[in-house]
Amino acid sequence: MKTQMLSIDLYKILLFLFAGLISCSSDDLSDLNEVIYVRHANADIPAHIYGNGTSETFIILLHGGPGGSGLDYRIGSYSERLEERYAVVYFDQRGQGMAQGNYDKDEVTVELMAADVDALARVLHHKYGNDIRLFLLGHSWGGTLGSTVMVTENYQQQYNGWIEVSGAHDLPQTYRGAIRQFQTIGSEQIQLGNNMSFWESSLTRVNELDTNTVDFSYINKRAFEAEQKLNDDGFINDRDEENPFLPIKNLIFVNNIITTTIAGTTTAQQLVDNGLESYSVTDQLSSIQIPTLLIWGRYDLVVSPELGTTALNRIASLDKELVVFERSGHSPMITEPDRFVQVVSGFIDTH
Amino acid sequence: MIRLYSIVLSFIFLCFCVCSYAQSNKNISGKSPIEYSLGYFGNSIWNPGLIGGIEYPLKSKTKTKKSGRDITWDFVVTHQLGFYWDPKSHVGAMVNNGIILRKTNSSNRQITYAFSPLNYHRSFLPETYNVDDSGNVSRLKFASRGNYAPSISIGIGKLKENKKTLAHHFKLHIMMLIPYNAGILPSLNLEYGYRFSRRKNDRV
Repeated sequence: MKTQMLSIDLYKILLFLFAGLISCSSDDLSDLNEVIYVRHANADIPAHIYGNGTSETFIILLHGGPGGSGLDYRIGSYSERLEERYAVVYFDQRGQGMAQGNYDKDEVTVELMAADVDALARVLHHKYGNDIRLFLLGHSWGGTLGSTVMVTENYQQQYNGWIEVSGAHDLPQTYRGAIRQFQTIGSEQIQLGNNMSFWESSLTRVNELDTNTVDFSYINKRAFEAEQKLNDDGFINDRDEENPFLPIKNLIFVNNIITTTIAGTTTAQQLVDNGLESYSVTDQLSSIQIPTLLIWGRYDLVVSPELGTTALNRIASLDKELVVFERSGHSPMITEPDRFVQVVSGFIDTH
Repeated sequence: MIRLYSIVLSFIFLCFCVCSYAQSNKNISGKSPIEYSLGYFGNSIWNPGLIGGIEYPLKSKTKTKKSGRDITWDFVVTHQLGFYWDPKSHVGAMVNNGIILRKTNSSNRQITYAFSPLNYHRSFLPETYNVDDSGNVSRLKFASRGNYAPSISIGIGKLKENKKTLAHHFKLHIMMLIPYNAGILPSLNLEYGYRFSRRKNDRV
């Protein structure tokens, strides 16, 4: 009898777990909440889809890093408000987040990752119909990847628009631009008498950096510290803390943090080993023909606004705009969410 | 890869033979020495899963310390089936085959060291679409992906007196998924469960 009871309990537990698995998707188009996988070139890559699918407008969001994950960006009020109006697709990218696969280290390249994004676009058209409108939005490293999508073959034809947010489409220029940005903003802050010791020591160290090589190890870490100082002195807005539990929920309840951390770090290193630090698509930006919105923070010390200016000058599309967020650093969607949603929605609704 | 599968299958077959031998080689009381285990398995309480299996004690050795207390070492062969649910991602299932070295002191507290060199792990994915080299999209049924998954684990537990539930245990598993993307993925998992038998525990 006890054996029979044990087997019934086990059956109930199995049923509960299976029910949990299949209940993780919602077919309600007005409130999409599902995960699909894209199998492409020996990788299985998850895309987390949330929001209003009845709009027939899908934003593919490419996370930063490299080494991040799609759901890292489902934070703050900006994502909630975009999801109210559109469907937002948080893509994990090859080797990152919960993506898995079996391929060689040599295959971890920006070009193949761009082909993965193209595969995702095809899947979305296959699943939701050819009438849907697709927009690609890439932040930071996601800007590197998104720009590569835009300049590769006919990939851009699948999209109604390209939104680059603080995008590092030219890594050597990103490095040198960050140094120049440190020099400019550091000098301004010293003149104003703000955080003197921090800015003076930063400028001393930055002025010693070799601009003939690319090494982000010091400047990236220092840039985020600098943004905190600028926030303390009232130049950059506080980070949007609406729904502060969402990032924690995504981190612990949705993603396996051990897997995402180890996989992301490994993939980032493989990208660097395969030449990421000398990667640039600046010379190919002239092939971008579709409407483009460029968004940069005035105080971005990671990817300087000068990259936005370069992109604006090079992109061939006549429908292009650079919007500088005056009270933001590297993540304008978090520090000026109202304006971010307004600018992005305006661009999407126009196209 | 075929060679690896051959080794895994050979080991599983060997384990099956050992179990069969164990079943036929019942002890004096006429009952099998095989023990069973069932427990929670996962990397956190939000990644729930189950693991269960059989354990066959191959050899047992008791030493008496100078203090007069006994220390018993058991050498055990184990085969386990387990699975876990990673929310919003996949269901993982695994077959573990390995050996356990278990130390029991005179107060029935146990420390377990396990090595499972020939494990197989498979991820079962939710809705999955394949995109081929020509850009054609097709939906895959029952998409999954397999990995070789050797593991080591360490655990603590306590024997229970004169009960069919022999012991409860808590283990930490470190499993390597090979290959995983363009490398290897270490995976940490916790196990809490019970070991039981068809006969009452007469070892304490």
